[in-house]
Amino acid sequence: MQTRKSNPITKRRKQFGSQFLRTQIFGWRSVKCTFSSMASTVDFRTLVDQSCRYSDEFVNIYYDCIDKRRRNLTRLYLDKATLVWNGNAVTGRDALSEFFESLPSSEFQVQSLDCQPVHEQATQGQTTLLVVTAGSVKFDGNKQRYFNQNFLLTAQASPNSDQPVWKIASDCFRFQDWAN
Amino acid sequence: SDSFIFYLSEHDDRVGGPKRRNRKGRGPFRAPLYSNQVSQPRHRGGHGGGGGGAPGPWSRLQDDDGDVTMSEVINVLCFNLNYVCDLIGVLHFDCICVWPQIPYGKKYDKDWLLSSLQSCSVPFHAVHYHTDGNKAQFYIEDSAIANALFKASRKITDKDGYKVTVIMNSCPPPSLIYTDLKAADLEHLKQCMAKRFDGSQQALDLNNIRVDPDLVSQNIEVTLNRRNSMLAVIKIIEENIPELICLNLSNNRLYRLDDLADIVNKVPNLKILNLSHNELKTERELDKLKGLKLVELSLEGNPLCGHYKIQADYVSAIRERFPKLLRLDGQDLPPPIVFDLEVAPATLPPCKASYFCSEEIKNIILCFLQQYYSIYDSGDRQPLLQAYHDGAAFSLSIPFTLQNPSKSSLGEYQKDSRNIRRMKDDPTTRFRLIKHTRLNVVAFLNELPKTQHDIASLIVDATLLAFTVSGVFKEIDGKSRDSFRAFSRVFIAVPAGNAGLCIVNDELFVRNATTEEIRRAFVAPAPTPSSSPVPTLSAPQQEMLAAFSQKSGMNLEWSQKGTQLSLSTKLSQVCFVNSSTCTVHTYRELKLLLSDPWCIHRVSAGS
Repeated sequence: MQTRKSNPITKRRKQFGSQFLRTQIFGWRSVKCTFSSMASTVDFRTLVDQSCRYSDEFVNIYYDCIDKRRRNLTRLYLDKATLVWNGNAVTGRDALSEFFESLPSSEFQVQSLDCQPVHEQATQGQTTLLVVTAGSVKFDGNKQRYFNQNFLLTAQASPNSDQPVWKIASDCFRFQDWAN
Repeated sequence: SDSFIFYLSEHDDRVGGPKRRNRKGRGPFRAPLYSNQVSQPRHRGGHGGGGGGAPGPWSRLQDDDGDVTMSEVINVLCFNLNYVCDLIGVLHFDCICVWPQIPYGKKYDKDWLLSSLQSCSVPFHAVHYHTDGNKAQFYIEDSAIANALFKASRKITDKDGYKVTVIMNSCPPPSLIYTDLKAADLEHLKQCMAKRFDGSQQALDLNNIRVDPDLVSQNIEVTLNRRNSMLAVIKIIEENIPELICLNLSNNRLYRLDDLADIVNKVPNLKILNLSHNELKTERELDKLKGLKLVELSLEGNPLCGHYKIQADYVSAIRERFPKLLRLDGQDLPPPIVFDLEVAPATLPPCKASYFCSEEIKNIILCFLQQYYSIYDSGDRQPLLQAYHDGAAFSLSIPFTLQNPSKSSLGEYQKDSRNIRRMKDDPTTRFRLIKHTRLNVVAFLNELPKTQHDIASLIVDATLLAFTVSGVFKEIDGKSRDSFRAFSRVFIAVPAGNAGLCIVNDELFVRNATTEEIRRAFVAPAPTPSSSPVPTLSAPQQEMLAAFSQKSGMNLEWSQKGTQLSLSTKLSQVCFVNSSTCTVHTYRELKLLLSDPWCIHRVSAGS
């Protein structure tokens, strides 16, 4: 079992029990949950429930942002995040910013959402979620298309507050009929 | 929209005097007339009076005296002619749909009833005859037939001595008998549309398509004022000629444009539309096509044109919907003065094939996938246990559509599909549908239908942390045998052993493959066409090949690509030479040597 580091987060968690504080700023924040060993099913259940809640919230925020507040979108990404968009790779905040700027305005409709907590072995203990979405999108000037997308969200310490924030570490997007 | 109801009273005039029977109501039964409109059914194209006018044939049958019993009657339901009843095999559009309800009609032999009616009136085709509770119901076509049926009222006496009376009601058209076009019919329709397509103009002429001889000869009913026909046509356009510029839908008896609305999204380049000689009653129908950047529109021959006394009003009403319109009903319009707000919309970046963040990763992943799918497609997925981490997690999802959810042929996957947006109130199911630990994961994978993946066409998007595989597979057993599916699968893996991978997270999204995807699937590489005749093996070459084959004991196959000949043989017949020890191994021995199937080794294939 991992040793729990004593930090303000754990203290707060003990204080409030299993309640998770969430506040909405331009992005969204959540209290980091220190995960113990993945082998324990009790913990796994908790992880699954949390991942569902967070991914639902994330999806609402992300697609609203990409449709209506495109300029703010890169704030949701890690500095070194990678986006693979229909086979085009874009890495780093600046490149991402330029890329999203170049896309026409969009209208996304997410039709299905699935998520999993990512095994700690893949992330060196950094809390990570896999979020998988599918739906349709209409970019201005183009016809409506179906898409598949998946994100890896990772909890990062934020310089702006003592609460960690979720950031997109990787983003993979593809039209279902990309070859046409 | 008007609808009219006639309700005629029943009259118990059985031979032998009235007998007391179970009546629904007490006392004289006379239903009120819902409306005083006694007019004939409205004729197409006219604006005939909804009210007033000469009494039609129906009124003759109204009884003036009261005492009736709720005996066997046929209710004739008269639909508002604005609603077209989608009848199977109907050739006419403006029809009175007879929806005869025969209480206790269930006891009647269908044949007796129909033939009796026919003998008293005219031959007709009863469609969708069925019983509903105690009533018998069916549909017929044609106002003339309905007329005749009315005349047959009370001319038929059944064996119990009751006379059959005709009653009319109105009701909205039933949606029971909407049928989709079958796949074979869709193919014919597609061919028919191809003939009507002019590639040089990007124009499609669907004028009066219903009577197209190609369709009529195949007995295919394509009536564009029915939702399913229109949707089928739009789908064919979307899949084959989405760049269409000019579309002619004249003479198709269109009375509403709701079903055409999708064309705004699916055929965004449409500039010229011909809706002339249809049944559009109001310009408000055009609101449903708002968003189309029409330059030319034809509406003449629609009832809506008659609404405008002043041409200018007409033009401005249409231009309100299509501000860029330059030509209406064949007449040039003065160009509108616009505001220069239009910015050319940004184009999307071109779509590319697989992406790998490094060559090394590429090799590892490709090798992994090769091995993974060879086991996955083998019929027993148990060996995949070695590919998964102890604490691995797996879940699957399928597309969610509100329309026709029952039509999803992804039945095998539906019950395990995890769409957490639809499971917010059900955390238990949400949890159950994630398979956790490799035993559970592989056990579940083994239950999924057997597959054959098109390995050659897999697309991989790989970052350091995860890789997404998309492609196509075919189901090779079970209920959905030979169904083509497309998938998108995310693998998160950690390094294992010698340049191997171990999966910790696996999410699979499955959908049905599109026709385009099916067409491209499993296509063996075609020989490159050359202008000169393709050389075949000369006689001496063939001899040489035969001799070599015999001496080596190998079954050789040769294939030709242009002028290039290649030999191939089964892997089991190839020898592997370990260049450092100079030992020769068969493929089988080699496999045993490399006991960890998840490692990559450099081997040289002996020949």
